Amino acid sequence: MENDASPGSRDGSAEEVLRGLEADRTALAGRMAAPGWIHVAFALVAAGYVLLPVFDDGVRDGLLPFLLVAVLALLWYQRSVTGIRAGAVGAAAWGVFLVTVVAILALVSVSFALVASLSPWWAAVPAVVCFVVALSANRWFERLSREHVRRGR
Amino acid sequence: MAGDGTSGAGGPVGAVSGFDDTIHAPVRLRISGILRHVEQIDFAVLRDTLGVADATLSKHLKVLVDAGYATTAKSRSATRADARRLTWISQTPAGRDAFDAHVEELRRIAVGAEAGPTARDEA
Repeated sequence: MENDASPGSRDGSAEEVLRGLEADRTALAGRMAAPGWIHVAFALVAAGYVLLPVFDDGVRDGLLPFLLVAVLALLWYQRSVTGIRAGAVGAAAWGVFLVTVVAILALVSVSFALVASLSPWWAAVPAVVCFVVALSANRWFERLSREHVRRGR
Repeated sequence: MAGDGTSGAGGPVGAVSGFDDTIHAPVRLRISGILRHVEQIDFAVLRDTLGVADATLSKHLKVLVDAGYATTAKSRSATRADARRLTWISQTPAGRDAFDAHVEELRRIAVGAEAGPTARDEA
């Protein structure tokens, strides 16, 4: 049975098998790419979060859960569409994620300050910056995750 | 079938540390290699990544599941309008350990091949 041949039946074939596993990892990494619009959607949600200071407390309390649900729905859809739920993505990718979260929180603070000191319209500036940061970071995170899988840790 | 009793080191499989008869077969080794780097993967994506037929993948997955090296779970599909469900496949901790040990053994053999038969004989 061809599929049951011994992969390590000779020293040379052990190397071939290891190379084959590497090729499979490369193929897997290629399939981990999410559709481009999902990155945009994640960035829009992040920008929406930065726009929260524009709204009254009541509206803000209603929008916050909506944004969180939107993130969860996008994550679920992304995994469902790619057919892959990534395991370990590597320290570099998590580093990007952490820095992005800190940057978004900082931009929310800036947004609060601008709305309080100038006008609600000024919140659009950090929101646009947040959109660009989140979009770039999301793509970067995915690239690093795929590279991590390709290298096999 | 897997585990024909021979190994790359020239001795019986069971005598070589790390070699696993269940993972030994190329398709199962490749399945394990993919599962090692994901939390879960859809059956169709795994099939396409490996470039094998549904029946082939099912057959080898069953062996891995029966050995306790993999598990399967069904869930709704986000892209299908009908009632068909996705089959998610994941590796168990035992499967991960077995795969790691098997690959380590393959690396040892590959390094042995580079060093040449004399070096291995002396070892």
